Amino acid sequence: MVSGTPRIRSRSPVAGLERARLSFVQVLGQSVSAVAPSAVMVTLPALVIPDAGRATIAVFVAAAILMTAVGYCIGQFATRMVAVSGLYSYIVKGLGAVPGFGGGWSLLVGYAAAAMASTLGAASYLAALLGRVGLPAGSPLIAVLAAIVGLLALLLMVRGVQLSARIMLAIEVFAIVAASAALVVAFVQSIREGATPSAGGAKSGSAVGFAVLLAITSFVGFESAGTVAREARNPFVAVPRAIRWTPIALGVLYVFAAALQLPEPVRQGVDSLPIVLTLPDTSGAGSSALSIVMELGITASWFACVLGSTTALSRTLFAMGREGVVPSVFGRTHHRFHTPHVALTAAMPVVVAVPVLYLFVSGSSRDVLIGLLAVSAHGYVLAYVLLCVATPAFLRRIGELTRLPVIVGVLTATAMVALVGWAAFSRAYVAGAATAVYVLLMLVGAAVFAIRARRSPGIGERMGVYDEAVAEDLLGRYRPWEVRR
Amino acid sequence: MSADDRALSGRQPKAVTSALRVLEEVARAGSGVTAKDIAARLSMPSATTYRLLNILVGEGYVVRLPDLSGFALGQKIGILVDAAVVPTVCAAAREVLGELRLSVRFGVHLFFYTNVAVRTADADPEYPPPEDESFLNQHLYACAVGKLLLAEKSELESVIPRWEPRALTARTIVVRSELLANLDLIRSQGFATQLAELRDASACVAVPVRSGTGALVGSLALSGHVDHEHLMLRHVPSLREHAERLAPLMA
Repeated sequence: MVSGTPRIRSRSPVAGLERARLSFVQVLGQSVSAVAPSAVMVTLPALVIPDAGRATIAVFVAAAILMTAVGYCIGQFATRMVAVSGLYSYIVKGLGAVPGFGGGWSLLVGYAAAAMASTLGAASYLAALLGRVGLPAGSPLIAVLAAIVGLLALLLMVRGVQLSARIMLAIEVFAIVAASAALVVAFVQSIREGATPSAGGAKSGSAVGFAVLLAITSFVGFESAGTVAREARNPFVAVPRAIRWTPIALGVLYVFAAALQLPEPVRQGVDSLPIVLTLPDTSGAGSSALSIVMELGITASWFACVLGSTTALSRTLFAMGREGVVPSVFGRTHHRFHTPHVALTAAMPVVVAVPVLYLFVSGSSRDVLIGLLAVSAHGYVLAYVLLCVATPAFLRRIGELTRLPVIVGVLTATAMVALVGWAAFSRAYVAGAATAVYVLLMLVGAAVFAIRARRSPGIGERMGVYDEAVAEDLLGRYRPWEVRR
Repeated sequence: MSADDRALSGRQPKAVTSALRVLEEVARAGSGVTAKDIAARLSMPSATTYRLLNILVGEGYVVRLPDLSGFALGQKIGILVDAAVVPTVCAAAREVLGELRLSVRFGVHLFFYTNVAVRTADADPEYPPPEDESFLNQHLYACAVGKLLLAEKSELESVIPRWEPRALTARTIVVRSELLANLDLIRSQGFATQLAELRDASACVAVPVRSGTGALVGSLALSGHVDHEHLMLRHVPSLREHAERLAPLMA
């Protein structure tokens, strides 16, 4: 029944952040950049093919379908709330404060680890490129470059969301084109040499399960459009559209990339380039123009991913700051640029320092990258599962539940949990150091939440801030005879 | 929205009708009505109702309230409200206008403003304004009352989405930067003029009428022959004084 007008604020709880600036294409850029598809295109198929063999394409199609289903669930929220913290506020609205915080913290871990990995990725590729002109490669050079990458990204992001979105989009497009071109050239060369596009059969059923999970990690980040909803023009249309189309477009790109890498020689050819996971051990092996273009493209892609992941990270921290879940200083915005500059400035040094320290300890960029990406994947997967469960709960709470979201939400959540279980029992996916680190970080999160909740008991009520309707959005306060500025 | 989308929606009269029904129902039920209620009252499939509501929210005609389940009409409906309201001038205000008309030998007119348009509230019966209301609204950049409205906005585009001015006379301002400079002058001097910009021989001086909060609600304008420009400008202090007396009678 009609419940009467609930309390309407005169000022949005997320005021201070830029409003209605980004075009649809820029929102799409945020989602795509946080995924860094070009880096994935040249690495993941090579990782998946040994496990899945001929089933590789099916594996990527399955992952794309699963992620499209997650995108559908996110869309249920994105058409109803203008969020600033994406999945975090969605899960809070669906499942309440504690699961919401769990999902939000998990995403913070995911975004932070992805940003760390991309900072290191960008620095390593730059180092490899500089190595071509004779600079001594090694951890010190990578550390210096990582600091430069971090500083540059920070300046761009503090300067304004529109500027960073534009740059992100431009370099990501360049990166995808460069990676595609490199793959096509390698493929054509191998066909000319007489290779047949075939790979062996799948190792076993359980290996395929692990392969699908691995393929899923190549989509994570696509949900991050939800973190710039307030900053988007026409957010109720732009954000759901970006989240709906990104997994489909990525699926097409990955299937294309996987198909090109099925012939053995292509994989070896690509492998001999200093690609992501062989860095820096074999850098300098390939010196053709092809590998230079590819390195440039992947450097660009990693840099875009630094911007994408840190933007999402800072918006989530900003929302938590406004709620008081983390110190309220994180909820401040720059008075001129309207960006969450405190959250950005606090996050960036950590994003640079952790991978650099890790690198000095382990000595191998490859190990650090894999470790960070694994931790990051844990963060995303938990958040996705929670979100799928939250979707029907949220719709039921607001009285708009229909059949399809229940089916999609429950099926997707079940499929993801089953997949994780399947992979965990079959391979050492979960039983690694990454899982231990992730669990530890989640415990830290639980401690943070417990402390904040004890200090201000009403915190659960304040959680889940989003850009809600304010008095001036309503017709009820409308005065026809007056000019508004 | 692309051109394709628009062409498509034109071919879905049923969807448009249903959307209008939903909008009517939000208006009828009042602030806070839920999607479920609307679906029940219209006997419309719930999934369809929810989708239409989300589209209307996306366009700003309907607002989803902070509890996320209630709906209310949005500011965008203001465009329809603006078109429906008619300016009414109370007897006290007409008296003020009458006094002013006795003291000057020019046309004295009172205009009201909606957010994006000028509305004639009381035109001088003896010396009628040079052009009618719809002509003024089509050429806001060429008349004094229109320029007062434009000077109020931080962005010209919020009133004139496409800057395609027509040179009505040789003196009409058709260069965007010149208009912006003119609007700056209007803001600093606190009144607007039109000197043979609308019609060759016509001139106009307009002062703003502001509400207690400082919002522009109307303007008091003097119209005459362009040769009498200096005489008209001499009346600005008197116009301002009368505008101040009119303000509480209008807001």
